[in-house]
Amino acid sequence: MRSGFEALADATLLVLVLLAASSALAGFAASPGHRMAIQSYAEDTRLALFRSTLDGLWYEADGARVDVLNGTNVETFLRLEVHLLATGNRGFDFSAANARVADLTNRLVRPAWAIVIVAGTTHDADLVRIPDRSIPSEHAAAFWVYPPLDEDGVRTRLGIALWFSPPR
Amino acid sequence: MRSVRGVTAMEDVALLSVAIVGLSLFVASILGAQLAHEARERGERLQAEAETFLEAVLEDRRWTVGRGLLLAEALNRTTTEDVRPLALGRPFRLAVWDVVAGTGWTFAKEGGGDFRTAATSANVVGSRTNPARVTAMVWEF
Repeated sequence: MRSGFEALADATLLVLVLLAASSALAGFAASPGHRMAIQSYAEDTRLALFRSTLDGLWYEADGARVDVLNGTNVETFLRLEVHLLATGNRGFDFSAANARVADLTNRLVRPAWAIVIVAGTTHDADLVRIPDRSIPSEHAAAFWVYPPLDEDGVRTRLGIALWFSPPR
Repeated sequence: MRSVRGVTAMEDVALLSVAIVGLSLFVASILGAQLAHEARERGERLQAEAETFLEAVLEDRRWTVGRGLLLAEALNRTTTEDVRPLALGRPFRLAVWDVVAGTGWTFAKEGGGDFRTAATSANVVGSRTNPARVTAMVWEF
């Protein structure tokens, strides 16, 4: 009778050892998944977006329309926008131009990806978000800091936040 | 009357059965793990080749003026044979899509089996500089 219990105990131990070994093997085989170079994609997207040129951009300054030179790239326009908004003057309205930039941005990113352009100064919180939406904690970001547009100005910080956002 | 030898034999049979089942599961898990590992490595290798192909396209001076700045005029002149060496001998598909103009260029010699895709953002430079999506695919054979 006693040897029967010993045999049972041995068998149980053997099964436990084999289960542990199998789990270790499963861990070895488990794929960490292909880590897309999201950071690299974010940087490429930032460059592609900011280098893109637009015609017919304009904004309002104290109710007056100001046309921006055709062929101005997104980067230059955003630098100008931040420069003007950083003065604290509330008479500027960039909504029409920002909508053009948002449209360009949404076309550029691949399906199921979401993007927000973030612009501001190195001192302040973000002055511009295109589109104006929150950014999840899990995202890739690509930023660049630019010198002031004039001697008294502050440095501008432009960039994008990008994240995978499949439709639900 | 119980035979001691008979009881012992039954115990041995039970132990042997458990051992056989346990070992069979163990061997199956070894084989499964090995196959999964090989499949993952093959996929990663193919993915790396797709990314290398994409990077080579973005930097090829025959149709770029800097990394990711693709010349529309040069792309018009480019053929599938021009692109083929960049795909490292794999069947491939390269697509450049100007997201503003809504036009694109595709160069392909597609194959079979498993495939991987690498894609990123770039620009197409013509009369304007437009944003573009570039997608590179490679097939296993």
